[in-house]
Amino acid sequence: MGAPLLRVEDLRAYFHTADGVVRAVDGVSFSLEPGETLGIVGESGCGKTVACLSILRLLDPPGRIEPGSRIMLRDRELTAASEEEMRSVRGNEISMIFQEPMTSLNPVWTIGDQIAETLRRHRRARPAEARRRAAEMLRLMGIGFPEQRLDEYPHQFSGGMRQRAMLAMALACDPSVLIADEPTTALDVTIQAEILDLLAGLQERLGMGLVFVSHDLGVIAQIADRVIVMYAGQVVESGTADEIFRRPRHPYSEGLLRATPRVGRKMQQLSVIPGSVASPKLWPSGCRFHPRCPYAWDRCREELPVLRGEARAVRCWLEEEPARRTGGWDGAALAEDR
Amino acid sequence: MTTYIIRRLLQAIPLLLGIVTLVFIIVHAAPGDPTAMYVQPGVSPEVIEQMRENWGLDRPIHIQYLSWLRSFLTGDLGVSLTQNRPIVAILAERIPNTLILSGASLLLIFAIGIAIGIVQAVRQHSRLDHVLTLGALFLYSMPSFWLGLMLILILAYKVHLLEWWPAVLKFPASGMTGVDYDLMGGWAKLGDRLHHLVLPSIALGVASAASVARYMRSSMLEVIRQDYIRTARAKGLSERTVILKHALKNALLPIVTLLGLYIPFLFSGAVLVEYVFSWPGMGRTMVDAIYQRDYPLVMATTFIFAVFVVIANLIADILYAVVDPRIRYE
Amino acid sequence: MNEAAAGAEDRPERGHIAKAAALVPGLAHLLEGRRRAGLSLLALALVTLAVLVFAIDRVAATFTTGRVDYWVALVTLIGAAAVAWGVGFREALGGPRARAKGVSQWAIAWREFSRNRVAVLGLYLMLTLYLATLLAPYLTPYEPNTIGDMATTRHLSPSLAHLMGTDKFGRDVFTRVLYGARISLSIGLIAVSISVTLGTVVGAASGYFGRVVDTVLMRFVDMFISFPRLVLLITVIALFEPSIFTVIVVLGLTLWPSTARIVRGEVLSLREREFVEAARALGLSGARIICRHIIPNVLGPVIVAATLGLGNIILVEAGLSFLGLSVQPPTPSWGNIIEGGREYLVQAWWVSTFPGLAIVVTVVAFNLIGDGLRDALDPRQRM
Ligand SMILES: Nc1ncnc2c1ncn2[C@@H]1O[C@H](COP(=O)(O)OP(=O)(O)OP(=O)(O)O)[C@@H](O)[C@H]1O
Ligand SMILES: [Mg+2]
Repeated sequence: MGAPLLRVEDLRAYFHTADGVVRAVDGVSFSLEPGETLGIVGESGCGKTVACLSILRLLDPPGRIEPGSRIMLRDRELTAASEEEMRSVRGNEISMIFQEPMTSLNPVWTIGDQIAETLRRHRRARPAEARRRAAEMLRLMGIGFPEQRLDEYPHQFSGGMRQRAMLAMALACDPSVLIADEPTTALDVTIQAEILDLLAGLQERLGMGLVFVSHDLGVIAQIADRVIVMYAGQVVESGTADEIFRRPRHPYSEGLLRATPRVGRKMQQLSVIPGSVASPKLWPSGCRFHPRCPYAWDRCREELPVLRGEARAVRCWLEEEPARRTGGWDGAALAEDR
Repeated sequence: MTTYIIRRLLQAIPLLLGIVTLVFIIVHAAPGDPTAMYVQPGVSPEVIEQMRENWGLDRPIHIQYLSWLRSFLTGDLGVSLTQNRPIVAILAERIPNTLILSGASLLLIFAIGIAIGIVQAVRQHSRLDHVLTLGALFLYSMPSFWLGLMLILILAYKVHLLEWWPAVLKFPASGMTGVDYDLMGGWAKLGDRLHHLVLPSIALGVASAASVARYMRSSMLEVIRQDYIRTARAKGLSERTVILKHALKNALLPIVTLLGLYIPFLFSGAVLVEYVFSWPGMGRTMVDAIYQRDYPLVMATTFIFAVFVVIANLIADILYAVVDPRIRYE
Repeated sequence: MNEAAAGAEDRPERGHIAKAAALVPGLAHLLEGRRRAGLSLLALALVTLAVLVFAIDRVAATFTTGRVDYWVALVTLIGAAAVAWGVGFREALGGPRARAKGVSQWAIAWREFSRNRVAVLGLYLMLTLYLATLLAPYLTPYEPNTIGDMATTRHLSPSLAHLMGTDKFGRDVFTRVLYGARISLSIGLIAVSISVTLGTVVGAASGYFGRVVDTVLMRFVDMFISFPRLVLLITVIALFEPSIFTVIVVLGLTLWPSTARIVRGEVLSLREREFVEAARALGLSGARIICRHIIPNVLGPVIVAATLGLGNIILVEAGLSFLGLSVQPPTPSWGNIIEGGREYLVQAWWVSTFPGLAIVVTVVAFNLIGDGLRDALDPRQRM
């Protein structure tokens, strides 16, 4: 087997602001095969968006990818690529769609123009050809009357339609990787399901690798083959979707799962992980999750656990001392209730 | 779009009525009978009598107001006291000159202001940014008439002391054309006019250009933070395309509305700058009219200036609708 | 609070030095490490001292000439000295210092403002200008209007004796600029007060009452704003007689619309807020609600507009007096000094140049303060 489609190794992305270094992403590794869907979950602020932007090297200053991080597209090292090379990768080999369809399209240019632009840029398509292809893409995304809609402006599109237009834009050049950063979070549930179906269908047809980011485990469970769980800028657990959802091993994943509403479970039982993510300017010592962890003991406060394992990996001292897994979330949730 | 323009045109009508009324009120609020101020050695009693009749000062105030309204709306602006010819004829000569000067300034204001604003936004917090911000602050705080005098002093007079200074950069100190204008060929005439236009349009435009740069910078910074700019970058577009295609048009939206604010400011400046450069435009006409106490002419120029502002606002609004699809499709 | 307590505790140990420091203004502040306050006080004290020493004959002249100028200058001098020593003394003796800063909106705004270096620079510039203006008779040995000996003092170029040269009547330009500053600065101040008051009232009424009142008033404002301001001013002033009084009134009456717009916008957003709702529920009258609840809340944006407006008014006034429509010569104002030098611009460039520079510096100072105030009081508008 050759190199994977996309491999990220020890990705660290820091913001060097005037009042301190914000370590938004602090050691993230994963790989992606063609046709595979990798889900990334984690609470708000854990660095998912920053990690995705880093892959395309789209961080705005003062954000920076720290030396030592590696991002490999097949056998090309993206961290070492020139800005010119990166431009030919963006929107062409790796595309990205964003959380906010309402604001991610430029309000003063037509939808058609914005889709065709990608084709003109990467395929050197003539205007008429680009337009024809743009209409085709819109149709593929399930938008009726694509010819007319090409000449409309984003404000004439609904939220779901805008996300479809974003998708059309992202997929116009047949990228081999699509990064979808919470593409459905801002949409209401029915439209969310439609977009998910569309994405799954497109992936099957086009065979691209998909990185799907969400803080919604339900959505991840629907679409992902493999999952990485992020906490405080780091990967805390990774494995197949099945493994993560059936048998989570990191206390944080456990907590997240418990926090997800499921059919058949009463509302009272629904628990939220107590506390909130610390500031990325000052991560807790030792394991970053220890202040919120129901099992934490001295070692967790002092030593940062390493990520153990290959395909199935966990970053937790419990892996070494499984006997300490007692009490756990029920006790913690109870304590919170009182 | 058409309905929008028509609606805006209709809205301009009460504004114009208001302006005519305001001028009427100012004249009548002035101390004494409006004709009293025309009573002076240079003006014969017959003229005063004529004026009384023309203005119908013996009639009740609302009748006066209506006839005032009618004469202004039919374009009958009266007769100049000092030049003894219809004011319309005088203004017909002067208005184009003012428009040339203001037009040149406007071009300068927006071209330079926008370009500098973009550069500052793209290089935010750089040394260049700081220098330009400081420079803009000074230019923005400078009286246009004084800047005009300084430009004349240096670029029209003092440079003659420098032998190596190129002749094209020695500018005329006043007027619109040189003394030998009539003897020149076609291109030389154009060149001469442009040469005369340089200093006054700089004096008139620099302060506004500095202020446009300020607004453009903050508008551009605001736009650069938007999600769609990130989208444009994620498409693999060059930085040039991202800035000049995706950011610029959005950043220009608020600037276009400023146009409506700059025009009145520009005309105010024109009064002073035309005076300094002996530019035969409306501003100069107005100042001369004041010195010669030619009140009908003062009134008429005031009115015309205000009308121009209304028209300019109209154009600004229409321009705004042209660049912003969200308004166009309302 | 903690900081203040700590300061009080270590005070006795330094008691003697502190008492000695009471004699030199600013020293106490410097000892405490408050450099900016200390240096400003010290500078203020040194300036008053220097004026006293170098201009003692003119200070003495105060008591022989009956001119108001001299008395104003003397009062200013005494005032400045009193402030410098008074503040220094209070600090040194550890009197009730306003150290325990409240967290009121104004305290926060002030802290924000004082962190902004250029804005503080603008403030110092402005204070220096006002001080110089008030002390004018002590800062220059010449009289602004006395015509010199035409043969020997006409058009002298700048030198130590005449810092900015002399004009065509042999008058010292520096002196005229100094006295001209009075006109410009005071016209600005009075006109801005008038227009801000008027604008606030109109804007508040318009925003608060809404409907017909709002429509009528705002149409009126639109009309005023779309007039080229200087053209309007020129027309009105030309119809009445140009004098300092006309100019102040007319400037004050024509600059209010922009304030009115700002205030109206603020009021519209405030009107929906709870405390106004509550006041209305209590049955308070409209005027009372405007005065008690709305005006204090729109003060921030209004102060910003007023400061920026001051710079603007000074420019407009300069333009008017350049056209001879404001203060009449021989009384100097920056605009009419520039106009006076225009005739001999090439032979005596200094006459027109220096008053213009004075205008630029003044307007820059007001703009710096205004921008600083805006950042401090109205963060939404930050540029
Ligand atoms: N421009 C920036 N400057 C400083 N810190 C930043 C910047 N952008 C992001 N961060 C920090 O990086 C951290 C990670 O942010 P990120 O947007 O990646 O979170 P996320 O996991 O995508 O959250 P969400 O679910 O809300 O989208 C945040 O804590 C944020 O404070
Ligand atoms: Mg995110």
